[in-house]
Amino acid sequence: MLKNSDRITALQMFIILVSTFNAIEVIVVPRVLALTVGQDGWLVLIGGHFLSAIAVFFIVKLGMLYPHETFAEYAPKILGRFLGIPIVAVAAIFWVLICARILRQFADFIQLILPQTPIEVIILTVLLVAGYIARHGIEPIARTIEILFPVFISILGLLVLGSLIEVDLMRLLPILDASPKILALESIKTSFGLEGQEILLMLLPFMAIPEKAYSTVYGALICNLVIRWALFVAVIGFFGVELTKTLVWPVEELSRSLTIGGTFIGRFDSFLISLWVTVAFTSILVFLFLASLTVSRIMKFREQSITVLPLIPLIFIAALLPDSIVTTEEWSDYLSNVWGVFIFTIPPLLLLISYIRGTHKKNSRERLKER
Amino acid sequence: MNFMEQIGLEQPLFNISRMLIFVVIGLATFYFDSRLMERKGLKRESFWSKVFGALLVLIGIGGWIAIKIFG
Repeated sequence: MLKNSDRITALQMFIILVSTFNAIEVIVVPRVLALTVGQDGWLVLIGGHFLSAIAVFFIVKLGMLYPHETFAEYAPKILGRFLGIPIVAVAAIFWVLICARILRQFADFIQLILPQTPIEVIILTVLLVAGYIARHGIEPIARTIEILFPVFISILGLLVLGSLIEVDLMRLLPILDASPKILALESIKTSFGLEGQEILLMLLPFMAIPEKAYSTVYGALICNLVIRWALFVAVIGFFGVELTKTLVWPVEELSRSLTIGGTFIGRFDSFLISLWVTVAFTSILVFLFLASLTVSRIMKFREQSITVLPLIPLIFIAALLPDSIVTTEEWSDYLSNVWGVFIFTIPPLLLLISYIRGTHKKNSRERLKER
Repeated sequence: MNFMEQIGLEQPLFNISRMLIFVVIGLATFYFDSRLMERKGLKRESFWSKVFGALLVLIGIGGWIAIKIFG
């Protein structure tokens, strides 16, 4: 059941998308790219975002055929309940796991500044606050993110601008050092790792003007590309490829190494960490909401909030499964790849089947009759 | 090699504090959510809240006991 107040503007959707893309990746992406393609990472970012744009096209196209329904409602209509429900259930499981993964990486990062605090305490406090907001629907989530987003963007902007003086652009040369095959494979991996592109499967019907979905999502992809591109250039230009490969959180290291305005801001990293926490939190919030919304739609509940609390212990335990940062990254890569394949295959398939069976036409006729 | 080592975990997944989280959230779902839904006139949702709550309590206690018994 969609409440009348549960509507978000195109700008709010844009902010949700950019925040979700940048959960954890934003602070690790220079290292991941440096390890695989070295200084050619900026090319991979462009390729990865281009591929994501293709995947998103199918997601939005599919959503526009069923503008008043979520993925959990139209997938069973297109494929039949026997096939549709398991696919939606898989999506719900992935959202739970992605939420747990972000939460774990978030907790690992926070332990840098709170080394004495048990990881369980960090995870649980974040989950409970996220759960409280997620119970109230998409609008409070959008408003929360709307408040936090501009501050984070300005801090990132300040970080990039502050590093410009010490950035050596020669460190980005030579171009095309990695082979085209590796560049292509890494581009695919980057697009798989852009978790957040799929949230329109569930959130499109919440948009006040769904027709703006294309411009919103492409705007968000471009904004995300600019953010990652700028950070990659800043980090590689500052540390060089070899040093970046050894840094666990390169963007945090960059902020630690900078002194902006002479010694006026000596510990810039404290600003970055405190504000990055808000972005990671918003991603956790969005994925928790998506998982609870999907479960509630599968079970045909008229109220989404009742599935939030039961999901919290499951996410909590899933977040505690990896025993170290390395295991978390390995599992995270695996999760991204499997989920990426899902996102790149299922929406185009559903779109094709919907056109062949004419499900969307029958659906709109039924909706007209209901009115 | 016990079950935890087999699935690649060096520490038990369910200890007393983690079990308590399941139990406390299960009880909150069982009592608060189900009553809230009933007050809103959503009988089916209220029933399912009770089911979810009871399941969480069972998973918490059951998981902890299973780890105690099977290591």
